[in-house]
Amino acid sequence: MLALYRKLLRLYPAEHRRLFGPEMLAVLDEQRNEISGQKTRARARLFARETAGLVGGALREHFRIQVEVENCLFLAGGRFAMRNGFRFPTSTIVFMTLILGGVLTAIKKGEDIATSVPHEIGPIAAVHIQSVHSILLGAMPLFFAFFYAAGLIGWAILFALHRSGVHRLDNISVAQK
Amino acid sequence: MTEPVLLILLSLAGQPQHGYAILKDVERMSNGRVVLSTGTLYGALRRLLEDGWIERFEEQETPRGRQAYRLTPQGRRNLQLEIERMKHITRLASLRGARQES
Repeated sequence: MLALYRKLLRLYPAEHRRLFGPEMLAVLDEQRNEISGQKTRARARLFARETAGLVGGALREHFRIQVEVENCLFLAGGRFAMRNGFRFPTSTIVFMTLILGGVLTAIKKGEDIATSVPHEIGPIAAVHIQSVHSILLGAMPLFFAFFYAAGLIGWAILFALHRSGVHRLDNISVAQK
Repeated sequence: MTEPVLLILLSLAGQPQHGYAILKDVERMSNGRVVLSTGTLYGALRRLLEDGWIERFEEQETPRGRQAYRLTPQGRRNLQLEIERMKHITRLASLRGARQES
């Protein structure tokens, strides 16, 4: 049981493991010792509770770090603090792609509707819609490419700062400074 | 403030405690209604440490030098405010409840 708990503790961010890992393992061990003489049902309940707690706790910690990183990226406090747990948010790219796909599909649908009722909107309006559509279609990938490039440049700057060791300045005590 | 956090703070209000003692104390105080897992406890302790409501120190009496937690003055003040808030709500609930009964 303890071996599994130890494995589950690896799901936590490194910083949390370093601060609380041995302590959490000691608490888990104490609980295991306390319940060792009891019925199987009580042991199973403890096991289920602790397993769920460890997995949930690890997810919450990762989420917390992610939120902190995003706050840093937007310079929330006016001060930039790089974190060890920094990861480029790949989920953002996926969401942006999905949104772009949705917008393009909506434009296509709109065009289909416009061409299916040519008599009501008239030939001039149809031409107008067609030109707006082509402008949007041409501009959208450009916008997307621009923001993607800006994101990449931003990430490269953050990565360079991280490599330079700026984030370690926080660990230096006032006396050392 | 959530109930588990309030119970953790109440557990530390009397005397400093280590992780396992907090778990057991919370369970005892809530008559077994709130049973914290180790993961939940340390998530809450971490947030309280970061907010400066509690502090960690090494127990000298134990041979292994176990880590223990105690309330900071800020944590004690916030706990007191929360207790006052709850007292007010309880008083209000009693008054409204009594008025409805009559």
